[in-house]
Amino acid sequence: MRHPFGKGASMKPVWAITTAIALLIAIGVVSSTIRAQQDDTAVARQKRDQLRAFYTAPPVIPHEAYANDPAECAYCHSDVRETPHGTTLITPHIEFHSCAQCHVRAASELGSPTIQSANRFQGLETPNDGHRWSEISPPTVPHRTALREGCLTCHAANSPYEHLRCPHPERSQCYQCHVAGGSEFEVTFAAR
Amino acid sequence: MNQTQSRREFIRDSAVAAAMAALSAGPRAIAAEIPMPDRLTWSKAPCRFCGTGCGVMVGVQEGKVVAVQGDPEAPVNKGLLCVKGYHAGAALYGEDRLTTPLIRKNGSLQKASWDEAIEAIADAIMADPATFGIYGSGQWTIPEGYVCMKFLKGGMSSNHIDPNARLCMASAVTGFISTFGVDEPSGCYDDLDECDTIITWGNNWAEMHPVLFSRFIDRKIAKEKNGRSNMQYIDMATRWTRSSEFADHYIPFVPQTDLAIANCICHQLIKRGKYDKDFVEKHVRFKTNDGADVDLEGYRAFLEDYSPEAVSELSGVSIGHLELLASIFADPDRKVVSLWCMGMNQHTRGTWINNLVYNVHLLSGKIGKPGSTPFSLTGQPSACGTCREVGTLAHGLPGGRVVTNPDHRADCEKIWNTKTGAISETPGYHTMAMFKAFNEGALKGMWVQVTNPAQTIPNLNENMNNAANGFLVVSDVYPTATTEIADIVLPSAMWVEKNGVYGNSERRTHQWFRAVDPPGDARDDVWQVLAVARRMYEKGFEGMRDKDGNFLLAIRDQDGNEIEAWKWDLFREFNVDRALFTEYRQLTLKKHKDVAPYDVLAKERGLRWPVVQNATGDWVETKRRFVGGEDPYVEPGRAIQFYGAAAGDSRAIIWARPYEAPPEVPDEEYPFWLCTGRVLEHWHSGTMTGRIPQLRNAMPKAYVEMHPADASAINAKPGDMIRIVSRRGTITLPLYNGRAKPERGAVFVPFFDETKLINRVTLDEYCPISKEPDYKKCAIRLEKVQA
Repeated sequence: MRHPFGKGASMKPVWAITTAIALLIAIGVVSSTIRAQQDDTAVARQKRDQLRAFYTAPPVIPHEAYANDPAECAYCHSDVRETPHGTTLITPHIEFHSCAQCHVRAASELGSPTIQSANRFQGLETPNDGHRWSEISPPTVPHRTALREGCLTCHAANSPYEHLRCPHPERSQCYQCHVAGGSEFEVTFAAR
Repeated sequence: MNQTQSRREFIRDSAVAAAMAALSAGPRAIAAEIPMPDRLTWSKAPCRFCGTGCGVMVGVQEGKVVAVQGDPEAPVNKGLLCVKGYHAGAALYGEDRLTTPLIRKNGSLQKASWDEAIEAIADAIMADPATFGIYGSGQWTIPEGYVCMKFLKGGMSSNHIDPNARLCMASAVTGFISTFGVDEPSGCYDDLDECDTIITWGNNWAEMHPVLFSRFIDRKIAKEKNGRSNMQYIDMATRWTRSSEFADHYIPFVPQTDLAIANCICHQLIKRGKYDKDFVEKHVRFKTNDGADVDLEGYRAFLEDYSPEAVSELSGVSIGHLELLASIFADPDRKVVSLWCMGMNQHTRGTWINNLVYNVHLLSGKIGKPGSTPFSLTGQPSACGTCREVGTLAHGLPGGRVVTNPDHRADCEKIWNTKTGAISETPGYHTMAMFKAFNEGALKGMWVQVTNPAQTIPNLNENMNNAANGFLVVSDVYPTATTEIADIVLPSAMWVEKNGVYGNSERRTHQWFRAVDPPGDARDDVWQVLAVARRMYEKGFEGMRDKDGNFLLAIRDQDGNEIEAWKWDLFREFNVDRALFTEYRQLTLKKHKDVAPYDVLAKERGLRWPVVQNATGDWVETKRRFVGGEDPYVEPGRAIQFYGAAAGDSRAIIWARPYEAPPEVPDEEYPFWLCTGRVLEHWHSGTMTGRIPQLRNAMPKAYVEMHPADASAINAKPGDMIRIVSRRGTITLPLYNGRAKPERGAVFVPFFDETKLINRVTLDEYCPISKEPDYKKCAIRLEKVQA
């Protein structure tokens, strides 16, 4: 069994035992924190999923909005703000100015739709948390980064998604430790 | 463990081991199972919806589409889509999807077998083949349109085939052909990236071609944020839309006066001497409206009526704005793209206005240069690829050919191996004539594929009030207004449930493979036509025999062996698309509309024709047609060559087209303009998008837009019901001001709502050259419905 602190360490036994015990306690604390977060995460993820037809679909706008003018959207969504509708999220793609191209209202002042037929579409499910090699390893990025290059929009220290708040926002090179966990597109060029 | 270990060492090692065990029991288990979406595969396709032709990635899991993403490798959209594209996968799964053939018996549609349906169709056609027509679609795939051409024009010697693209792009086509001698744009989407100015001519592209809009506008805004921008967006329109929000200049004009405005720009360019003299001398000729040749002086004389003062009076556009427009084209350093779609095409002088915008660009030399081009946007995903390039029109043949030309007929008869003279030289019914004939009984049978005319034909009360009497076969995916009056309904595969090829606005031919199975008993439209053709052949219909007595629509593999593709199981196993496309491809070469081979397209996100193989064997697409160095068909040494010119002189034609008032204008009895069109969330008649919850909830029903002052004048506020009446029909709609805003004296109504058929109210007058009706202008009166 390899000694975690290097080969043939000549550490005093008391320090070794204390360290071992501290390590065990630390693991316990980290595990239970992760477990508590996972409960909040599940709730938060559900709320988030309801706004999307499938994982990675553009969310619908759950509130009234004058969607013609992007300046109206940016008024709230260029920063984390407290509004009557809740805490806003910064858009992860401020460089796109035609917001209404992808984001439509969840409901309309025109009322309920004329066609009432149901739809059996089942969208791609949101993946679980980023995968960690060990419980204290940096998690992989469990989602596509296309159109989400601004990590801090969701992971900032004051993010409205509490469970996603990054504990070290002062570190700017996210991709140094957090790599993509899932595959990007592997395109099929052949007939089925 | 070392036998010389002391007791302390043992305890230390044990504690450490315990800690390690705690750590290792965890990570070792996690490491083995990196969570990945199960069995998720992605394949490429063009989007199902508009003529932008975005590349999408379709995510399939356990035989179902579960996600759609923008394809980062697609040059058109570079990973971005619009709300319809993102939700296109859900269009397959509405619960009332058609899954069984239906035949009307005793007044109602009953479930039937495919054999029964095919038999009934074959019998009906054979009873009177000369009175049977096919109404197709700009949403047909290329193989679908092609197989119908071979079936009807080759096999039945009939030209009664026309697509719904007649109602959307016909004026653009006749505009191209009269100005350039050949159809489809010189420029491409790259010009949107290189221009500094865009002018929209009656086109709300923020909602209609959203990805192209944001491609330009995001660049413009980014540049402006840097503080050094000369970019301009000018919106010439008849109503304030989402596009207008982003414009530097919003220029409203009286409907139809676009004709005069274009002439006014040319008037000013010549008057000030600020046109491209060199370009005009080398590449342009002038003609009067009657087609007589005329010189520049004659053209200048024609333009005398179109001074800024006169045109300002007619159009309501200020002299300042008219001068602004001219100054943009007068500036030789400005790179200008003009964009248009239905505002110019659905126009009783649609051909003329297309010519006139080309005039402006030809006179100013702003064509064939990066960032400077007049660009006709196409509405449907394959109006170009299928209707225009395969020639699925009453007068058309594949590859830019026409039925009236004996050489063109001979080319097709050769490829199709028909008997000599099989193709008729008499053009068939164009769309409006076809529906009139069907309504009156002159045309006894019609097969409608991938479109919904009972909702989208103008002046429905007059043009389709008897349509239920004719023999109507409808291939579709959901119940529609058209299936409701059909005699036979054929459940069809849609989009990625079948192989396909589409061609978008910028000449990009884009192929895809089937990704999921169609539901129930739904089958490909191509198979349906092959099955009917085969049944007719078996019943002895002479036209279904080729010159050698073999089945005309035989599908052969690469070794020449026939595949019995009229049998569904065998059809599915074989790539019939590939066989049809490969045959069709031969016909694209004559007029330099070369499409790439199927197998090349299968690996690309579309390629822009002409696609030609170079010396090293690579297939190279063409960004800009007629431009030396880019278009392989331009003679060496020439910077620009309009080689399609009918006169063979490689010159484009500037036509002296006059202003002509629309046939129906507001008057005392009907004092308002009515304009109709689309909205972002819904595609055409809403059969697909209406079943997608996110789109349906965002835009649940049709409405009428009014200028606030007009609304106040009748004491109406948003939500109030307004009755709209024209000489043809009536409709009642809620007032809504949450999207766009018409000018005073005009209203707008979208046409996607199957419970609110605005086409009962619209006018069916059409451009006499293109035969395309004007959905944008007619006269109505309105009143608030008292609660």
